[in-house]
Amino acid sequence: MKKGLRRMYVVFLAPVVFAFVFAYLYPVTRTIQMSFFKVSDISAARDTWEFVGLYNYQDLFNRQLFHVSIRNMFLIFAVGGLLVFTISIFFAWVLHKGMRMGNFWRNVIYLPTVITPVAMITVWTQYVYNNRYGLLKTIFDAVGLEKLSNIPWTSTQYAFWSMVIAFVFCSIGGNMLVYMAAMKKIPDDLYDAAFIDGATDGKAFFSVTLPLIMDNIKTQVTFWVIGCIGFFLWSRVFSVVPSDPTTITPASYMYDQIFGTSISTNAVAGNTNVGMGAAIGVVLCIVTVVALAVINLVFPKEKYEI
Amino acid sequence: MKKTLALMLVLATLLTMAAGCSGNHDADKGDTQGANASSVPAEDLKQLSGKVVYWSMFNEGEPEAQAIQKAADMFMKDYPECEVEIQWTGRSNQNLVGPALEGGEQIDILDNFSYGMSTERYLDITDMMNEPAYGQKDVTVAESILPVLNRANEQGQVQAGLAKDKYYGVQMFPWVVGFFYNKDLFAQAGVTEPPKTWSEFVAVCEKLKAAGINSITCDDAYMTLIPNNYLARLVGSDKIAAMSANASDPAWQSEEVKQAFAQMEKLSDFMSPQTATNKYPAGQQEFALGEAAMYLNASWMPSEVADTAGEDFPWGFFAFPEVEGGVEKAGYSSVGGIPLAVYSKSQNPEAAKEFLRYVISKEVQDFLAELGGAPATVGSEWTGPRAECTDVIGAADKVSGLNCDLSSEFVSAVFTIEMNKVLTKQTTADKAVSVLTSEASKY
Repeated sequence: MKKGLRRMYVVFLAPVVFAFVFAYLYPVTRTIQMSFFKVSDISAARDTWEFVGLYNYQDLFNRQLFHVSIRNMFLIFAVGGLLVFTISIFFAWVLHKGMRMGNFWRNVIYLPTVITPVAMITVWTQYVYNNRYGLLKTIFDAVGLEKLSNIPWTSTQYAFWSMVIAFVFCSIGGNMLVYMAAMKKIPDDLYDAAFIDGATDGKAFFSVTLPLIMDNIKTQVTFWVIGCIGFFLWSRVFSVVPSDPTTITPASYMYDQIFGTSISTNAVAGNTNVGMGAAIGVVLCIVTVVALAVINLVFPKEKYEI
Repeated sequence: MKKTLALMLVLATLLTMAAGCSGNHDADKGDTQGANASSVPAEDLKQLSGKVVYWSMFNEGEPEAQAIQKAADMFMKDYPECEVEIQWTGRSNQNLVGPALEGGEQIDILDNFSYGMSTERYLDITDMMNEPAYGQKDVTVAESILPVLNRANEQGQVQAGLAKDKYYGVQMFPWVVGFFYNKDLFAQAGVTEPPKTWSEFVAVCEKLKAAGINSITCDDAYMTLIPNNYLARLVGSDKIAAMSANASDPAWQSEEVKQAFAQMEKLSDFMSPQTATNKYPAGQQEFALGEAAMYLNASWMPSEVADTAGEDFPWGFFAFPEVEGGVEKAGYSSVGGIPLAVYSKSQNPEAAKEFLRYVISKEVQDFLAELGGAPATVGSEWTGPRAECTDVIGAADKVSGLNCDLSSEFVSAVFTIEMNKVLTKQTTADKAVSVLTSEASKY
């Protein structure tokens, strides 16, 4: 029987182990290995790689554009995160408490999440922020706020914050749904008891709701951190200018190093160092592990049973 | 009686079918003979056979794809033992070709590459380039191509460390950078001739502004072209190379750089107010809608805005003006093409080279021009909105890349951003120069 069980383990585990080794472990090891070499092309044969030791890492940490990209990533994480979490928890709380046409508002807020990011970015850059006929321009003009209506949203000066606002707008819906689902699980008895004890709505929120959805917040923060570290598409599509410091993020910088930068020429530009790109990948991987460890430390360990 | 009639009808039908088949057969035979009849004298044909595989960056139906297909048809007609297999893999073909080659896939012709990447991939095709051009016995293949394209190819090879006097590829489907302008708006402002020098250019801008017309518009993607073209003409390509290589190069602190910033500040008066916020392709649309008079771009622009501009758009094109007192003269131009090469480990290199000779032929290039594409051969006229590009590319005698070869992280992160701010009145020239100075040490 034991032998049969062992055989069954092998049969069931083999595909997963095989997939893990070849689809995950191999690329990761290869990337780490590549980060110690100078590689001119992503598909260059192994014998053309030139060993450079830790040079790619040293060079990377000396590059100002990498510093800028890290700063941008941190700002997206901190400011964007603050906005997304505050607004989505607030919306979830308000909708959970119940309001007229609650389902309708829930769907409206969630809608941007289901639209593909590229389409959303195009809508924001070409329409919402447009300085001639854009949504913001029209609204601010209509209410007579001339200063706000004249803000050149997509100019170099404002591009980063415009991107963050648009990204936050599209991230709220998904978060809100998670919190609403979590809030639904909280028994009404707890609120009843709190109100009998004289708690206000605010007190009930901070002392009952928030602690009981903390586990979900932790999960969402984890996803947010991973999303910020891999923040690529918005940076790439929001500014088509390669290595644009206003919106560059480490993931976007990594892409430039691996595939080169080119401005509308069809030919791929030279001077790429795929090894440097791999080094960025390794650094981002380490940052992710450290960030997740910090999240585990920061969030309370005790769990409330409902 | 009925039986006889039926028998006769069946017989007649059979005879008709047989006659039909026989007729078709003759016709097929005729066609085949036609296909086999070479347009090239038999003594000029080589002993070639086998398959040539080409993974192209073009999409089926594009003018370039149609021209390549024509070359393939001509080639297969002359060499019935050969077959050309073309995969239309699209613009990101380089992401597919590399791994495919590593995986042992047969690919004989490569395109859309940079010599700097995987220099060992390209076969020396100098012998083919020195053969007579297809259909032109008095010129070699190399001589039949626009000289600037050969120069651009040579520069690409040299930068990648390949031999200068050999051909590892050939540049096709050329582009040239210059100002597209709206002839109607120029006429409206009383401008009769496109400007040739920078001061003439500024004078044209002033006239347009006085007539209430936005002189220039631009997009974020191409904003770098105006300052780069100005600076490169002023300081010359040697200094540009030094400045690209080193952010601490003394040329960055020179009077010329200050002059470039000052001129861009002056030009900012003539930029469309939308320029600061234009996200590609908003500026191109502005131009195509007739709301601005000029747009600096490469010659591919008309096809990008064809739907908006319509067939009657008054297209004009002139080279970037010569900067007075500058190192580079009027013939300095940003010119390039799509490189085509034979894979160094090709299984059928001779046939691949010969096929390439057909692609480069004037017959194919003229066909491409008729379809609205950009021909690479001497004497082929560009057509449609790009007709005036013929003179500009013909007059080019010194070539640079799209951004005038001014590129580095310092350029992208500091110089370009500050120039953009100056051009769109988000900062002043003086402030931009001081940022440039203070940031240089960080790169």
